[in-house]
Amino acid sequence: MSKTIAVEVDGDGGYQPRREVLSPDINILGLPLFLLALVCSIYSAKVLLGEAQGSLGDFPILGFLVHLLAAILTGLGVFVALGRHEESRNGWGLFTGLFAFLAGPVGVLGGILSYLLARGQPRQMPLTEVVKAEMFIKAEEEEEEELQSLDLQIRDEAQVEPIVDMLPLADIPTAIAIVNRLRDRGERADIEMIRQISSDPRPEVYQYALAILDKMEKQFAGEVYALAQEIKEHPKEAQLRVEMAKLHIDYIQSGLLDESLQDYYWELTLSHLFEAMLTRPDYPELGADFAQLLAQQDLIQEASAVSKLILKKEPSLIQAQLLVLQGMFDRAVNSGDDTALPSARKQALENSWAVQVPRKRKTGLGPTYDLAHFWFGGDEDA
Amino acid sequence: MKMLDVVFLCEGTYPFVPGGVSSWIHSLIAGMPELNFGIVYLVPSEEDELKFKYEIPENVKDLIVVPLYDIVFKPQSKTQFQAAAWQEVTPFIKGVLRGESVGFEQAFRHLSPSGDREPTLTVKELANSYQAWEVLTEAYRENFPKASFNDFFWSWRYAFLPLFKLCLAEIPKARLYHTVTTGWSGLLAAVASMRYRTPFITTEHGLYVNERRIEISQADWIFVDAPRRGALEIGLGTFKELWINLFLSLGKLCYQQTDRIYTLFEGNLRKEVEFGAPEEKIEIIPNGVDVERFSSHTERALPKDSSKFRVGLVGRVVPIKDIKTFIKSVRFMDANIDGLEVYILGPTEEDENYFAECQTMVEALGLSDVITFTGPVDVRSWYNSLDVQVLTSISEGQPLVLLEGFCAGLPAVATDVGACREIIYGRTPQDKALGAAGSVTWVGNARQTAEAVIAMYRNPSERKKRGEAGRQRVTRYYQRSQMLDSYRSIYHSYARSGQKVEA
Repeated sequence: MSKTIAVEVDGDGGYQPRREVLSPDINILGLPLFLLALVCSIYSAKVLLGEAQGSLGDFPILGFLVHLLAAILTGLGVFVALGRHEESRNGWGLFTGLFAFLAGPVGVLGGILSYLLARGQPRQMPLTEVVKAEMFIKAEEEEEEELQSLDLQIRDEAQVEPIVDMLPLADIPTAIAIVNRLRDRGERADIEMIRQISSDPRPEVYQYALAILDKMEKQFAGEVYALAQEIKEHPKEAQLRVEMAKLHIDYIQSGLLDESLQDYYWELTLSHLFEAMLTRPDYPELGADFAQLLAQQDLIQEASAVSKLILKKEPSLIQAQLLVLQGMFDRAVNSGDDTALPSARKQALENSWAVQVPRKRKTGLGPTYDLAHFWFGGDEDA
Repeated sequence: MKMLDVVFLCEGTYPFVPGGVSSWIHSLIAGMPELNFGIVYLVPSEEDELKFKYEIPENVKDLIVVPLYDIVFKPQSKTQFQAAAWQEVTPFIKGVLRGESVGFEQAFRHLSPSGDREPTLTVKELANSYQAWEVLTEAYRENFPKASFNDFFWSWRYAFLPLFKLCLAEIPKARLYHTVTTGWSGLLAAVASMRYRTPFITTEHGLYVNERRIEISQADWIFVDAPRRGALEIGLGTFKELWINLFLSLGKLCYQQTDRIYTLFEGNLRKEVEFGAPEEKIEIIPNGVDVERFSSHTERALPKDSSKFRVGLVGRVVPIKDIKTFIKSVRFMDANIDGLEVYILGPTEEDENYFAECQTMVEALGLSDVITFTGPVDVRSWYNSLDVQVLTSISEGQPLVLLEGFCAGLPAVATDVGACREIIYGRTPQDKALGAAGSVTWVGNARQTAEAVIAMYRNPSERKKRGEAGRQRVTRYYQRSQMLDSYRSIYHSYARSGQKVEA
């Protein structure tokens, strides 16, 4: 069964699950402390007021200490009663304790009362900060304890699900507002969502979404055009081609392009880097970037072959080392050749000097470490 | 001068801007030589360069150009306080700001001359007087109290000055006024109709209110407040909504005042009702083409070549035709179709920036050898030379180019906008029985467009079958003569009587 969880936007524009409402149940352990605080407070008031009516004498140390104890007990009672609400128990405890210290028994009662009245109020951000139209995400119904572990999942799902879910319910101005919001955020997932919205059946919505996408594409197109003109004028300038390749990669990763056009731009990127390599054979890092792009397109063998060539010129390039190893492993797995895997391991060991692994890094801290971890076993000193 | 039978009120169309609506007006005028026509053409400024795109038929006896924004304040003689006039004009002005049409009849006599009577209020009084300031500030406080007054003031000026000016415009006397949009033309038609007590009819191809709404929502020149951080701002912003309300109000005014509304297809009718048109006033008259003229044309723009597969898009190179999606789709096609040749057949000068962007895209996608922009051409010779016609528009009425292509047995791949679906798949059960004349795809979806074309490339017999279905459909249901007969009978029923007829 699924349920709907509202989410809200945090200050950085990211999604957070809407904060939970305080539990209305009072932690019973707080009550004796409240009672004790009240008794102490009444006693101290009696002592202090009794002394005040008389003539001026020594400072009423006992009365003051009991008064202080009452204030501390009030704060402590609130702290204990709030139990697992770690975020708020310190604040509330201090607040009610201070209240009790300043106003005696009335303060103790007031502090406890304000604490009780505040219970059950949602601790949400103000309405202006909350996305007015609820962005819904679907999640499996889970026990409350498991919700925290879902936080990350919710955040991930919120990137793709909520708008798609709410769009059929949103009227035209809301749908347009969603497009604007996504445009302002401008992440790849947001732009992909605008592309989804461009399939909305309402002309006002899809036309708006298409116009926004067009405006975004124009920026890239303009930059690509300007750079292409420069390349035409200076065809031997490797740096320009590298810039163009980077621009194409940004374009591909922007989410603006259809899948098949992405392939086309990958090819263009590769061709620019290839040209740059040919123009500047003395600059092997270009070749390593080129090989990396080949690998990103699942052209592992090609990436491996290019990396081998590069390593002949510059054996210390880790990126190229890894691609060679990846190519060998890939070949070993796909060819079914029993000797291929040992040979790959041997090569890896021969090249291992190039893989510099920080001793204190843990698994998952980087591709270099992961690969080394894989090749050399579980020993962290590998 | 002899009184005109029909005066067309045009904005951005005939005879200076080519396109479907302009061709439609031209064919109506040319098809009824027995009637005298006049044209009133609205243009933003007198300085705009106008070039005729059509050969004006002889039965057009008058052509007046009305600039919307060149306001000249004439010296003012009267200075007396016009309290009563302002009392009647104010509800109309405030209604416009709310997107409503209220009190036009009452306001009319203060805004427009009629017979020997001069309007009570001059444009200068309406724009530059103490009373105008009072109404303006009152409207501001009522409708936009939190917006910038400075921006409100200038939006007000730019929105209302053309309105006031159109109420004073010189319009040739006619027995019938025919506007082809609502908006400014619709207002002018309403003014003419009230001034001369003659009927006026409205034909909508696209929906003006809708088009303006889309245009305004995307406009960069209208001030929009920066969104509050973290909040989802519903609405387009105060001033965009002000402009949308203006056109919504003018649309309602036109629908209220017009005698009849003619539209091209069912989808438009429903939208018009949504925008405030009384349903009982609306009638559907589909577009039609001269089937004989297109089907009998034997001249070819390109020689026959079975090794080539030729795809064409007939239309102006403007954003509404979404030429960029078409270009992207060609990228997919090119990888799957041998001998692909693509032609974009239509004027390119209307939006030169957009044309430049399209050219850049062609170059960036490596399609310079595949795609050709021909500019304006005699499309009849091209329909014969193409294998498939594509239309990627994001908004259409009832595109004539598809019907023209059908005359030559040319199947179409078109986006699901306007009447494209019913043109391709049929409207009535009998019509549908003729079969599909192509494929319908989703707007902005280059891949789907390409796949539909590739499917036709791979199946020549199906392509031929679809072309034949199109030919039969246009012959049976979309004959220009049918459309002309309908309008002829309308013109005669109104124009000859010259009387307002109750719907």
